[in-house]
Amino acid sequence: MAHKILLVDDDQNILFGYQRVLRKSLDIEVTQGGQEALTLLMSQGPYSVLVADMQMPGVSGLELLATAQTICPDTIRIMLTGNTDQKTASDAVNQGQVFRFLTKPCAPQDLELAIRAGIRQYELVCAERELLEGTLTGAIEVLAELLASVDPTAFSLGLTVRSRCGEVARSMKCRDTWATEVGALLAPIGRIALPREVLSATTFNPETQAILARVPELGASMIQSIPRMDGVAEIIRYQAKGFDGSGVPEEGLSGEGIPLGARILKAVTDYTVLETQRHSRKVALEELKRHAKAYDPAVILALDACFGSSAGRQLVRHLMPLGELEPGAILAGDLHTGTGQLVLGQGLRLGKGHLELLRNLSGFLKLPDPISVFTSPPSE
Amino acid sequence: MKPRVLLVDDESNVLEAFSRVLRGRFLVGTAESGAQALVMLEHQGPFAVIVSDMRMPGMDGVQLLSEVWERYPDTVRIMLTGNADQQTAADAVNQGAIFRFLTKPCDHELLAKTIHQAIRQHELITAEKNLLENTLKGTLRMLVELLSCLDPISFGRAQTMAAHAEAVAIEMGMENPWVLGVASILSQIGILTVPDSVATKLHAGTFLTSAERDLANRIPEIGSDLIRNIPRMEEVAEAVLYLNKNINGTGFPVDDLKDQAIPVGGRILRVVWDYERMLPKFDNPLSAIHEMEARTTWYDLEVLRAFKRCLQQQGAEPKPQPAIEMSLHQLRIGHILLAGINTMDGLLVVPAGTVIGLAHLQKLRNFDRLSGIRGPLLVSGGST
Repeated sequence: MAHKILLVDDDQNILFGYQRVLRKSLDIEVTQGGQEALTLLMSQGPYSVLVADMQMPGVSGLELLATAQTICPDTIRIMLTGNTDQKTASDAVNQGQVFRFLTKPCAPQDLELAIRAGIRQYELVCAERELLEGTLTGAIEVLAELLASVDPTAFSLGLTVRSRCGEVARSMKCRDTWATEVGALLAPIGRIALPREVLSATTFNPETQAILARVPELGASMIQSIPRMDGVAEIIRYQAKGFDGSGVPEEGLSGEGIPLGARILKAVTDYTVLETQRHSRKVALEELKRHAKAYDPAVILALDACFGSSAGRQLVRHLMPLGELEPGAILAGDLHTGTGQLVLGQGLRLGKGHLELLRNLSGFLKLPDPISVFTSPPSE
Repeated sequence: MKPRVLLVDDESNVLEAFSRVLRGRFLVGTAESGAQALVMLEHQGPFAVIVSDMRMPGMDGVQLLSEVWERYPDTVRIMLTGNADQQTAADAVNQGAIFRFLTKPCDHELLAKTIHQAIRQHELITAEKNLLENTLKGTLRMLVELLSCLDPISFGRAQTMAAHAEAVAIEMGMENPWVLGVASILSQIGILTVPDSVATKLHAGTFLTSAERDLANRIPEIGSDLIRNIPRMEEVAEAVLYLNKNINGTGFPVDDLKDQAIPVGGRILRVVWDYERMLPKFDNPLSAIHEMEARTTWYDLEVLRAFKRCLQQQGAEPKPQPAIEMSLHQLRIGHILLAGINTMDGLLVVPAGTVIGLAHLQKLRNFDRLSGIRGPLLVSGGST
């Protein structure tokens, strides 16, 4: 992968001097002002490393680096300073805003060394992201998808809830977007350790209710000892906890003491379940607002912003022949075999594994054909 | 698990003050000299972060941290300096020997915050190893343990297979043994996409119609397809695909590959999977291997030999371990069930042969609360 480097200084001579020496070994772009640099970062990125002079007219080096941290957090930031700024510079390093600082005058070789270290750091950040978001999430997704055929009631909404949680978390600048999405996929895992008669109980029974209330805690306890999954475990533990302290588990946590990911997961899950039952986003959102105390108002605002604008839009129902179903279609109703056994649940976003299951089943059992589905709206 | 941090300072009251503040958040170790720090790193490591004072008699901070950089590159290094040493410290940051430096006297909150950043850096550095070997495998193992509550035969075998397959991969000098562990764990997921009736017949060994037989043969292929598109899982998908492929090219999938052209992961899974299936019929592991050695057209002999060495190294533990009777409260993770566990009303909850995991314990406790578990349980010691 070619790493793009952006070098910003108000002194054109310095810029060209560095560029002449470094362009043989690095893909280096230069620009003269903070404002221009921001435009480049937004339109020409991603850059692996940004090197900025501290003292520039207009947008200063510090402002540029701080803004870069929000618009392209993965880009590694290096600061060039005059000697007098050393205290400021070392503070900036310690507060995590910059990766390195170099004192002017700085020999091109020293700059190159720092840039190379920055590139290595950028690769570390990217590799971690790929592992977390690609490999780990991908593997969990496949299994969560398959679990929908094992426990249709609980796992059918998982994929939809997951992508919505991701959208809400990103819009709220939640630092644990990844954990929130994985938490959404794994939220019901505690159910698998429960007896079938508890899961399918239709009548109210205090004994089974007590066991069901422990599902979030069971799920959390299963994954909390896995390295790096402790954040996900906490989100699963508090997935049913109300902002006002209602719900399970019955301990003191409430309000912002509940992890943000869990607050998002609760609101999005309830919203998605309601939407599936009522066939309307608008009605679902209104119901959430009627029970406002149970939800974090900031999450409801974000949810409204993400999905509210299309709140009036009704999903369109299609009848699709079994053989033409594609991944992404959402089941409009529970899918039963000819003998009445539940195969997959209403609201399930079909994945590759489900299509495989349906194909295999249709060779042996009678399945409804065509199947009633919603195609997912373009906004998702 | 809390991250481990090593504090080094020649003034014991500084050490005490710092460790008092940091103790709640990290696992803190302390050393009063560079030499002592190196001893601790060697015997009590690994530490995620080391914080060292600059001025110390004997080995100073720069010397210590350079040494640490050399020997334990994953440990992230922070230095505490007096004002006069700032330039030295800044140079050390830029040369990569240290991650951050802090000026003395140092605010406790700033120290804690900097250590948090250092731990984050440690996570980044060790991400590859940690995420693949611990997080990924741990998560998948948990999910498969859950699946083994539903289909104990397929997924129970997948669990025990993983340790063997990884041992063989290490024995054969493969670069990424985790691939075999993950492939074993995922090797049976295809079975979740076939009708229950087919799975049941398959386990019971009863007659399958030709349509059912076709489907059963495709189970590894289906599983492989499901994971093929996940980044970094290509090798895992290949291994799963060739689970039922014989070394002479027969078996599944039907293609032209044979001998060494079959991916090595597939050749390893082929051996270990059959071993798990055959083992119950033999009274000792090596006689199962002996039987397999006779099937020269099925297995890669090199893999089989490596597997045999692994089993011998493990001391070829005598297969029949003493049976113990116990109550549900005494049952622990790692115990192996010698008889199935039933509820009072006769429903089978966990079958014989299961290696007990956390999910099984949870499930049994739930059933016990609801309808009671019939005791005593017949269990063998297991590995832990």
